Formats: sequence, structure tokens, C-alpha cells
Amino acid sequence: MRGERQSDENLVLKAKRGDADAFNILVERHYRRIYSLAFQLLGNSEDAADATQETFVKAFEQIRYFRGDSSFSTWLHRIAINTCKDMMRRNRTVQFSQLTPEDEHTEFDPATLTEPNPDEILAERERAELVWLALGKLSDEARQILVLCDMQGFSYAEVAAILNLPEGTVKSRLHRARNAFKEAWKSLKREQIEPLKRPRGGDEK
Amino acid sequence: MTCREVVERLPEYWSDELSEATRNEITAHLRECLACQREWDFLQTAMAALRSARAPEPPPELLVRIQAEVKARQRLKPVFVWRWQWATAAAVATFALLCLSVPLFQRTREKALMPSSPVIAERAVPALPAPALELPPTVAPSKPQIPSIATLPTLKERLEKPRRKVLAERPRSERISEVPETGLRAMGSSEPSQSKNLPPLSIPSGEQQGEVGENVAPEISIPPEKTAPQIAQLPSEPRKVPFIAELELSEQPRAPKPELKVGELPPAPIPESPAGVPSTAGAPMARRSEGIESQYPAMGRHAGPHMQMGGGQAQAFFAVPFSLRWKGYEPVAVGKVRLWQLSLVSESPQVVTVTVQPGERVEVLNAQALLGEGKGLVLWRDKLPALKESTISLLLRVTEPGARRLKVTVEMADGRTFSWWCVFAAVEREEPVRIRKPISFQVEQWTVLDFLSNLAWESKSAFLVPETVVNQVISIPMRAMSIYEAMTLLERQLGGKWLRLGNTFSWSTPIPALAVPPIKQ
Repeated sequence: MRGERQSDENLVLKAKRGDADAFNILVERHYRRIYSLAFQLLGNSEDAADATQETFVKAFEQIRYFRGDSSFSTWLHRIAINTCKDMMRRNRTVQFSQLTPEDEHTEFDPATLTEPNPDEILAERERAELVWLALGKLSDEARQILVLCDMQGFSYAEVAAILNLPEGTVKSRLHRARNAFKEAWKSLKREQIEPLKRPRGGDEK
Repeated sequence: MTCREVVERLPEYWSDELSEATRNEITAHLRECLACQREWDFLQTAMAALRSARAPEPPPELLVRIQAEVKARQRLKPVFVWRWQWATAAAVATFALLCLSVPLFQRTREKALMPSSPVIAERAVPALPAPALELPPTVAPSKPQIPSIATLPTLKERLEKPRRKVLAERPRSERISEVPETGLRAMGSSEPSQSKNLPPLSIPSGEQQGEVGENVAPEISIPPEKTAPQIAQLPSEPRKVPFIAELELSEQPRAPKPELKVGELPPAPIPESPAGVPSTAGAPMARRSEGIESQYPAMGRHAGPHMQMGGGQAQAFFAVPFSLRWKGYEPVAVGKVRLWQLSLVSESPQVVTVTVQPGERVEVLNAQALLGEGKGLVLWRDKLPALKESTISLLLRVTEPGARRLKVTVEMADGRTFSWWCVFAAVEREEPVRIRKPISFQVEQWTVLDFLSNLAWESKSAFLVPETVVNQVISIPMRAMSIYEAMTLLERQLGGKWLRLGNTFSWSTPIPALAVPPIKQ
């Protein structure tokens, strides 16, 4: 009773019997991670929220087919990846460049509600934005693998399980993706940072 | 090792996955080659940025949304099981019946076919035409069937039905026939919330409306003998019937009873000038009635001092002690659970019950208990401190696209009720929400509710409008305009203000607190 933490496996078993409450505990445990994955893949919060919701709904409907070969988290991530892929395919117009919050539903953006230091946040945000922009320049495949390995922190084995690929392929793709990311980063830095620096230097002098 | 090879292997170098020999080779190369050194720097900063980049926190309502959706899915499952079980039971029962009845059939058939008993054979033959001969006399006295006309009497019947029924089936079909002929072309745009008109509705752009209207027009062709008097009367009694229906809906106990019973909206008992209206409401209303009168003299008479409508009266005559506003809103996509947040502020401490009446194809997932008598589902019941905002969540799911409505009612402990309509549009798929495009209007006279349904559809936004306003007739020029222009026109004619939040609008009147209730309970 005292906040005894049930294991995922236990909850999965209950959920398989149609227990939505048990499944909702799983939702609570995993939704942040799935959301961040979706955000990293899709590049905007609305789509990420929808993809997260869709992922869990799919998972709930498919849970009886979950055999437990991998962990629930891995399975969930696989669903999330597929959901995001579908969304990307469906909505090719979603671009990472839309990240500036000229969005009309700012009231709902938690980032704006919990900002401690504006300067820090701005620098952080700028850098994060460059990351999203650079990610947006990559192929879907490269982005997926980078997000899973470098942002979500999965091991090669886990990523191999999620993407259903041999580990060797994951490794080689990851290296290629990192190089591609570096290239994208480099070009963005040149495009965006340097023009920003120039006028500032002029001011100082 | 060439520079190219080095650059290609840098990621492995970065993650320290190379053999020692290769690593040393690259280290040595980097020390000498400036270009590769720069690449290496870029890789390091890029990877550091990538690893430190945090996705933002999920929206606060996301968890609730997902969990509600999961719950909703669970609820669907048992239904399926039951249906399946019932289907099996039904199949078994049918089979059993068949088994039982086969011998019976066989016996009767045998008897009928057997020539051995002539009496039965003779009887069997004339027995068939007999009913056919009897039929004509029974059919003849019945009234000729003219479907389009038949709808009119049923409306009156409907109005006498309990309120709940009226709400459930608002007389949309009748309303179509009431639109002026000029407006028929624009039916597609004027009836956005009608689910049957979905194909035309799914074309959101204004330019396509004309085409849509042409497609729809033939369907609405009304027998001339019916339309002629209607069109002649239209200016004086536009959309008469819907008003009555709305009146039935309004649950305001202070609304004068006789008007509910009148059943029509004749100009007779209504004062010509807005004299009966308190001076507090004077300015905007006077302007409105002028504006309308200039186009439709008779119209102005009954829409100007908007008093025969329960709703209009409420605005003019007594203050609503609550303000209900949007606090949060998510655009509605079909089949997805969306969270809306309403903020309720009361002038004085109150215990209130907030109920909701979901419209057709709208589910409110967090509204549970049935209140009965058409009062809807309880959404929230709590003590409201004075002038302190309380948040009411509304978890919505819409099953079909189209302009949708639901009614939110706030009931005070003393039984007084105040209602608002939430008018919004649900789309099939995520669509970018942009409200800059112009919207064209091809009907001049609208009730506010219809007009807003249309706007909600065209602009993919949502409106929260007190029932005091929804029934009023407004006059909108027939041309293309932006949604903002349309809203300004509305504001001018209604004498209030639309407040915008995200993609939603909520209505506020400038002078509610000063208005004095003339009718005591």
C-alpha cells in the first residue's frame, strides 16, 4: 500500500487483462521519455504530444501481443518510433525550423511557465534550437539513430532491438549520422552564428 | 591516413571505439593538420550540444489526456464483448427458432399444397388478394405524403416535446427552408454544423463555397407554394422557428413565460424603440437597431430591443454574476481527446454546479453523473470564492468532423442557471490553424449561434458565448472579409467584446454588473 512500486512486468500483465488503471501507471512512468523522443524526432511540441498519445493508445490496444521478448520500454519506444515515422510521412511540412514559439498556444507551453533565468534560457534555447535545426537537416534514418543513441542514451543493443537492426548496422549508421550532424551543425554555425557575431563586434568597437 | 579517412573516422575516435594503433595515428594527424583539427572541434561541440539539448517538458495536460484516452478505449472494449455475446445469443436463439419452426412450416405447406382437402385449397387462394382489396380504402383517407411540408407540423410537435428532446434534435432541417432565397446558394457555408452536409463542409476555403452551394442547392429546392409566402415574410420574421427552439432551450427562470408560449415572434407585443431597455445598455444597442433597421425595417423592430428572446433579455436586463472564459484550449482533431480549460469567476461566494450538455458526436469524458431532465452531465461542483478564478477542465472527444456545439450551464444554489455555448470545429486531421484568410458570407441574416458555428468551422477556432447572445439576429454584409472584421461587426452589433486566447474567443459584455434585473423571481 505504501507507494509500493509495481514492476513494469507486473503492470503489463494486468494491462493485458484490460486493466486500464495499471496501464495508466505505465503511461505515467514512460510518457515523459516518449514525449521527448517524439519531440526530438518531430521537432515541435504539438506533434510530439499527439505522437505520444497515439503511441500509448496503440500500445494499450496492442499490449496483448506484447510477448516480453524485450523490455516494455523498448517495445514502447519501437511503437513511438513507428508512430513518429508515420507522422513524418503524413505531414512532410513539419519542419524543425518552426521551433520559434510564434505558436498561438503559448499558454500551454510549460517551458514558458517555468523559466528561471531569461538570459540563460535564451542561450540554452538558442543552442537547443540549433540542435533541432541541425537534426532537421538529417535524413529520418540518421535522426532516429542519433536521437536514440545520443539524446535518449540507449545502448547499441537497445537501439538494435528498437529499430530491429543488427548491432553492427546500428554502429555504422550512428557514425555516419554523427558525421552528418557535425556537417549540419557546421553549416548552421556558419550561417547563423557568424552573421550574429559581426554586428556585435562592430558595436564593441 | 588521408584527411578524408581521418574525418570519416572522427566519430569513432570521439566515442573511443578505435583500436589503439588507429587512435594514435589520428591523434598524430590532428596535431599536424589544421583542417582536420577544426573538423574535430566541430564534432566535439556539435556532439556536446546534441547531448545537452533537452526536449521541453511535456505539456501539463498531456498525461491526463492520454490517461483519459486509455480509459475511453477500455470502456469501448467491454461494449464489444457484450455485443459479441449478444450476437452469439441472438444467433443461437434464431437457430433454435428456425429448428422449431421448420416442422411447422412443413406441416402448413403440406396442408396447403395437398389437393386432398378442397376446402382448405379454396380458402387458401382467395385469402391472398383479400387484404389487397381492403388496402385502398385504408390508404385513401390518409393525407397525401409531401415530405417537405410534413416537416413543418412535426416541428410544432417537437416544440411541445420535453426540452431534452428539443436539444437533441434541433430543427436544423426546418431551418434550411427558412433561409432567404438569396442565401440558398450559400447553404454550404450557412449550415456548417449540419452533419449531413459534411462533404461541402470539409472544404474549408472560402473560394470554394460558391461551388459547394451550387451542389447543395438542388437538394433544398422547396415547393414554390411553400416558399413564396415565406420569402415575403422573411424580413419581418427571419428564422422564426429556430428562435422558438432556442427559447425552449434556455433554462433561465427569469425569462418571461408568455413569450415561450406564444410560439411565434410577432412584432405586436414588442416595444418599437429600445425604451424598455435600461439606459446602461443604451449606446451599443441603439447603434445596433439602427444598423439593422436601415436594411430591414421590420427586422430592426424585433432584433433591436432584443427582448423577445430569453437570451437577449438576459443580457439587457440582468447581470450574469459569473464570468466564464477560456483558459486553455486545444484545437479539436477528430477522435482525439482534447483538453479545454474554462475559468469561472463569481462576483460573490457561491456553491455552483457546472453541467455540460454534449452535442451530437461530442463526448465530454470527464463529465459523469446524469442530472436528468435535459440538464446534462455534471462537470464540476464546488464552492466558488468571490472573484477568484476556478478552473474547470473539459476533456473532449469528437467522433466526426464538423462544426460542433456544446452547452455549459452554471447552476447556482438558488436554482438560477446561466448557460454558455461552446462553438467549435473538429477537423479530420491536424491542420495548421491560421485565421488570416478571408471568409465570404452569402447570407445576410444570421443568428449569432449559426454565424459563430460557421466562423468556428472556417477559422478552426472556438467560441464561448453566453446564451444571452446566441439567439440574436445579426446582419452581416454578403462579401468576403477576414475573421477579425467579422468579429468586429459582431461586437458592434452585440455591444460586447470578444476576448481572444490562442485560437479561441470568449464573449464579454462591457456592462453586466450595472444592469438591474427588472423581473423579480
